[in-house]
Amino acid sequence: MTGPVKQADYKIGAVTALLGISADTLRYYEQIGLLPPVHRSASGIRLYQPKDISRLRFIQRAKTMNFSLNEISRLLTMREDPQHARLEVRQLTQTKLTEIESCLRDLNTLKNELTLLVSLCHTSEDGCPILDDIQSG
Amino acid sequence: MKLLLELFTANICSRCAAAKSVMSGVAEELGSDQCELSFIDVVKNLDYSVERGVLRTPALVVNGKLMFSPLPGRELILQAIERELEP
Repeated sequence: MTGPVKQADYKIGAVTALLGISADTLRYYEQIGLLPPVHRSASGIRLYQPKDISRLRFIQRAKTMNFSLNEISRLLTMREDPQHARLEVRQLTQTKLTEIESCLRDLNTLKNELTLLVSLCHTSEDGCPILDDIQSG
Repeated sequence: MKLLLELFTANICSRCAAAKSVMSGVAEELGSDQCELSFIDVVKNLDYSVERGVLRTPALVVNGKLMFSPLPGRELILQAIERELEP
């Protein structure tokens, strides 16, 4: 695919700066099919479009949940066309959703614990129980 | 029904001493047949405190449910507890 440079297109350096993903990784994602073939300028420069950025952000979020690239690839097919996703992909999506919900519960508990500790720090004149708690393990 | 009143406090919390005094008075007024009051140190019982929804001190939990945090005046506390005692 080739075409004129549009304002919404991002060169690889801009994507790297925007998302913190290295150029090698971006090319690798394209090579293994996590990203569809990226639009190119007449001179062959990769031009990432907003839908590519959106897809990359999804990949990044999924990676923070420790999903494998293979799992991410299958989740992306669901993302592209949820109505026609295979049963196996729908099941994987449901499993991953359950994992995320469990993770959110853990994160919320951690958030509440830190909120309580910070609130104690604010009322303390002599010290901070956050440090005491961490030190006592 | 006897109510379990739990006051969550911390040694370093400036308003907790006053809250303990108020809650002791409230528990005394209600009587031991109506309620049982205990003081929970949040720093020593972090998991339990967070489970009960306590995010700051002082906090009052009644029968496992967070009722006040921070605590209002004695009269409001009494009214709320008496509502819990109603059949």
